[in-house]
Amino acid sequence: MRHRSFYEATARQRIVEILDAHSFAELVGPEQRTVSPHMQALQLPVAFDDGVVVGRGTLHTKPVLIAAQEGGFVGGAVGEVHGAKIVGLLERARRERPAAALLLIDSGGVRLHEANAGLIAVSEIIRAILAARSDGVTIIAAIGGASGCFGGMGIAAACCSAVVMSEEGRLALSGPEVIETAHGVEEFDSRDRALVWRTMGGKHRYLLEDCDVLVDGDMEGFRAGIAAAMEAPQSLTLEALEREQAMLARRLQIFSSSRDGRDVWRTLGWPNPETVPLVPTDVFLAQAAALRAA
Amino acid sequence: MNAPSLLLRRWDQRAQNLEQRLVRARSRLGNRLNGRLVAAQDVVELLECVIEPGDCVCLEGNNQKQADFLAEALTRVDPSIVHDLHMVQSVVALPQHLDLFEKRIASKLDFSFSGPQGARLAQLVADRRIAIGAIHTYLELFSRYFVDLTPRVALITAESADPQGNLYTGPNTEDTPLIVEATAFKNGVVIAQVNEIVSRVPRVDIPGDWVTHVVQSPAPHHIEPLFTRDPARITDIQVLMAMMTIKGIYAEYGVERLNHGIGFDTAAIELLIPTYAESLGLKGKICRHWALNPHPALIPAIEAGFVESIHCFGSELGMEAYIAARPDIFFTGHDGSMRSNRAFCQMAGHYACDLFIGSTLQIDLEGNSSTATLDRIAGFGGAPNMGADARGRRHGSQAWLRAGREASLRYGHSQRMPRGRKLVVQIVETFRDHMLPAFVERLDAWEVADSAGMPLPPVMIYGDDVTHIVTEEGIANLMLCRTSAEREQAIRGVAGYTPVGLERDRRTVENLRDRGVIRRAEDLDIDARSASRDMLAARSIKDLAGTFLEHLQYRFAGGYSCGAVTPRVVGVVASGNLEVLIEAATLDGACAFDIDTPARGFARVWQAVISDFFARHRLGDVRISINDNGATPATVALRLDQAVEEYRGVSQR
Amino acid sequence: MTASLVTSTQGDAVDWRSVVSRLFPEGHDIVQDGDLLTGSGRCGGETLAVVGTIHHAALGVEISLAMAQYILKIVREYPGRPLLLLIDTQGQRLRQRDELLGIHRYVALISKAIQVARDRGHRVIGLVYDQGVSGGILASAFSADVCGALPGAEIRVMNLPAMARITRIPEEQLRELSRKSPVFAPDPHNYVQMGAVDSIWEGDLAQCLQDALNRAQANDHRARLALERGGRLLAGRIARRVADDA
Repeated sequence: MRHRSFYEATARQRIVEILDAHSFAELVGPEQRTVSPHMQALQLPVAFDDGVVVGRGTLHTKPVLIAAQEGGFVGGAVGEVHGAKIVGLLERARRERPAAALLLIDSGGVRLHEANAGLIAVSEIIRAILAARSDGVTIIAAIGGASGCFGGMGIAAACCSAVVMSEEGRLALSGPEVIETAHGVEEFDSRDRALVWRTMGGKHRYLLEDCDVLVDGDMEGFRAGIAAAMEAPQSLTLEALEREQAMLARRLQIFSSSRDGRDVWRTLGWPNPETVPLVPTDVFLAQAAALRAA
Repeated sequence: MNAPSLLLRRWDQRAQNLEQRLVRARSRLGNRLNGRLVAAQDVVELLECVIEPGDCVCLEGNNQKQADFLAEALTRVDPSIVHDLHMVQSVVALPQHLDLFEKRIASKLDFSFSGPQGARLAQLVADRRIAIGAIHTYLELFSRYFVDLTPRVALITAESADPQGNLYTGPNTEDTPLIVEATAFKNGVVIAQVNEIVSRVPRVDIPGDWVTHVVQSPAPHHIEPLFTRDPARITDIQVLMAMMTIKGIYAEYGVERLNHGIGFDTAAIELLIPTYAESLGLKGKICRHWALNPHPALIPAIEAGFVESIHCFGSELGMEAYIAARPDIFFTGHDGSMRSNRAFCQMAGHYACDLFIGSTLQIDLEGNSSTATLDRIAGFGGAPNMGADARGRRHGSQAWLRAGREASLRYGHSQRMPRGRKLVVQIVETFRDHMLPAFVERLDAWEVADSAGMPLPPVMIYGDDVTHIVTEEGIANLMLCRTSAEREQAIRGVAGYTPVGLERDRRTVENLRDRGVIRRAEDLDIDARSASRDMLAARSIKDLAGTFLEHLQYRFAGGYSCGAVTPRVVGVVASGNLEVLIEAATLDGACAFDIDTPARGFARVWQAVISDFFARHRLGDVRISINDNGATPATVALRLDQAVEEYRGVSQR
Repeated sequence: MTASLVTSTQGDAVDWRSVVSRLFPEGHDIVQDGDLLTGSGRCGGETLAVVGTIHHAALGVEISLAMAQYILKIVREYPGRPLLLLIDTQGQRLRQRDELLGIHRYVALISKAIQVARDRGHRVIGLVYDQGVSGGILASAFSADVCGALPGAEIRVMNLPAMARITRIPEEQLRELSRKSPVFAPDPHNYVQMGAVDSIWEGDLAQCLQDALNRAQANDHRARLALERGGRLLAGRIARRVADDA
């Protein structure tokens, strides 16, 4: 069987291939036509699921709840209905206590067509993630779609128990175009794909420990990576946050003069930082492990 | 007064002749004539009765709507009864227009534009099956309808008619009033094909007593979507040229009233108005009044408040609802829909606009431009009327007077009598597709004239009418050139890496640049690197159409229920894609479709795709709902088939 | 925190001192360090910990870390002490360096710190006293139990011209929409209607703060408020359907 690309798949295809075969049952499916009233008011095309598929199933026979954003529909951006479906899924997780709630994120963040309602929806997702984690639910963010994980969804991902990414995944707060619009192409050339990748791509995030599991970009890689992340639950405690705070403070000290991913990687001890983008994932992970140990 | 001569000559022979024709029709068709109404199957007989050999016949058809049913009927008349017709029509667009000559029903042709039939027309001329009187501009031909080419018979088309013959031509009124005016008031025969007969027309565009007969055509008349240019195909280079045009010409002269040609170069300008022009603070100062078809690309500028009025040559499929909702901008009737008028709009473009800008295929060193290519006779259409100085104009405006001052300095000696000047701009990238240079030493038009036996080369815009040439290399202001040698260097100076451009005299060109005759992007303070499609107010048809979705519904009876119960959805509402939701529904065996699409005006395409789909699968008791985001028919068909496969797969599980 | 914080440049911001003195007539010891405010104030006989931003601060990695650090310190050293987030932010800092360093992580740490505080019995109040924009407000005032806003505050995803550019909806149309629809205008009253702002604080700010403390609850009830107030009709209903659907 050929390797199916996570990057190119639709939200529905991702769910089907990540979960155990035939285990997925959708909640509030497209036949309920929960379309965005705000998009309708603007006479823009709507989607019957408002760009996010939610439901339950099993992964390696363990019960999970899952949400998958459709990056092809308005860049996976979060509107009122879209956000409410994810919030509802996380509330359900607090009650059902699945082995994990999986968020397959593929989103530019707030859906600007819904402006205020989109901003609030993202805020409610962040709050719902944190509340579920306080209740002990493990929440895994998986990032590897064409729309990446940006804006408020970048904050949401960082609030999850673990982040699984592929090399093609991008995780950031502000998208490259937003930064370029604000401060010009000299600040950040959004069309320089290599630069974008060195700043927010999967390997860089992994080396900075913003990504817990780095996987190959195929479905099997994500399936295995998510299962692995589920085995290492992280609880949201004062002590854990104090450790994270210390880590982030250290990061500022060590890399505060870094201007490029290559500077960061060099400081981390990579002898030839230019080669980081080129090495295959398994070789990269082995080298990274060796460096961490050293 | 010489009374006896009245006795020698009858002065109402045309009226008498008209009466004879109508009598012939009445006696042959008898009670098949219902007042003015004729049934579709009787039209060929009617034509044989009312048309006489050698008649001057106008078959309505321009580059948009077509009297296609009457055209087809005319090809079926008996050539022994009807022959040697002299066709006078603005556009030769349909194959039937030329079939008339192959069947020897017609022999002579006066026209303006031939578009897609250009190659076959050239062949028929070469074979001496067609004698071309002349190739005209629109206004020229329309004018001759009232002088020496008055139609004896006009075969026209309208949206609807009432039993009294009153016609509703709706948004696509176009040439109809002018043709009917010329024909009806010179005792000619006017036969109208209509899409439907109604008891009361929404508004009277043509009064019934100007119309001789009305026939309901079996299918609605064809309308060609012409002006929809997908912004997705606009390039960064076109954005750069549009920026220079806006800053270096529109803002510079204060161009408030204008006409745009069709093409991606001018669509780019339209899409930069609400972004780039707005950022330059030009709202209210430029682009306020237009003689223009309702280009979808102008929607963002209208919405942004730049545009105050638009008069249209014709309409554009899919724009009807948008126009009807904006009567302050467009010319609309009391029924709410637009009334276009090609002749009046051509006149408006010629006399009341301060600027014309259009693309071309070739420009020579005198600034003459031509779209003629070998082996085709394409004609002129309306561009020459737009792209020519209006010598009869007398009213002043800021842009016209300033251009007039610049033009008066031509060749170094200023005229004492002040005069205005229309801005005529040619905008073209120095190389076209396949690396064909847009600048040439000698236009192909010369050879075209030789091979087709034309009296002069078919030039679209003459060099002495052109005031500016815009390319990616900059703007050449031809009015400021003092000698013809300077003019040649000004053209070479914006001709880029074409052979013509490489032959420039660098010192002269730099000197022209110092004098502002040639202005580069940097001279206009435009950073060429900043030119990006990102600046367009819309980057795809979907963006343009996004402000008005169309809802379509279809229902097909007689399908077979397949008993599935689980709804399935396939596809994604991404750009150029769609989602299909398929679910069981109690519909008496019917299959119902609900479609939301941003690509307006494609109802017929949808109907065809959906009909074929139903014929393939004959699903019954099924509702199929579609959210489209600008998918092509191939994608639609694929997704529909995938949806059925998934749906049936579920039912078998 | 050290002095490496972003220095402020904005001149037309609301004066935080007057806001603070109206909030804490019983006194406070809030100090400014760059764009960061920290300290405590007394209200209704209770001591609140205060952390905030001023001068439309752009939340970069440093100030975000400092805010999170302060909240964690309060949780560690003053169990149960209510927290007030005083917010004036233009949003996250839009710089390549911040992204390189993983700013999403730093900003998220504020939210997480607030959640841990909430879990350990701290009531958390947010007050948008000037601007609240995108990532800056998501991580701060919108993460609180109760969020208030001063009448002149502005809360938004981004400004209308930028929004027009990205959505390709003409600015005129957006402006028109924002007159008719609470979805598009930055007016805090729209956020009240949509449930994200509990109330507009006017008059006696100390009393408003007192009321907010009384209404603080751990569960996110914004979708319910939105339904009651008619500002977002679907958020709560659809979340409920997903949560309860059999």
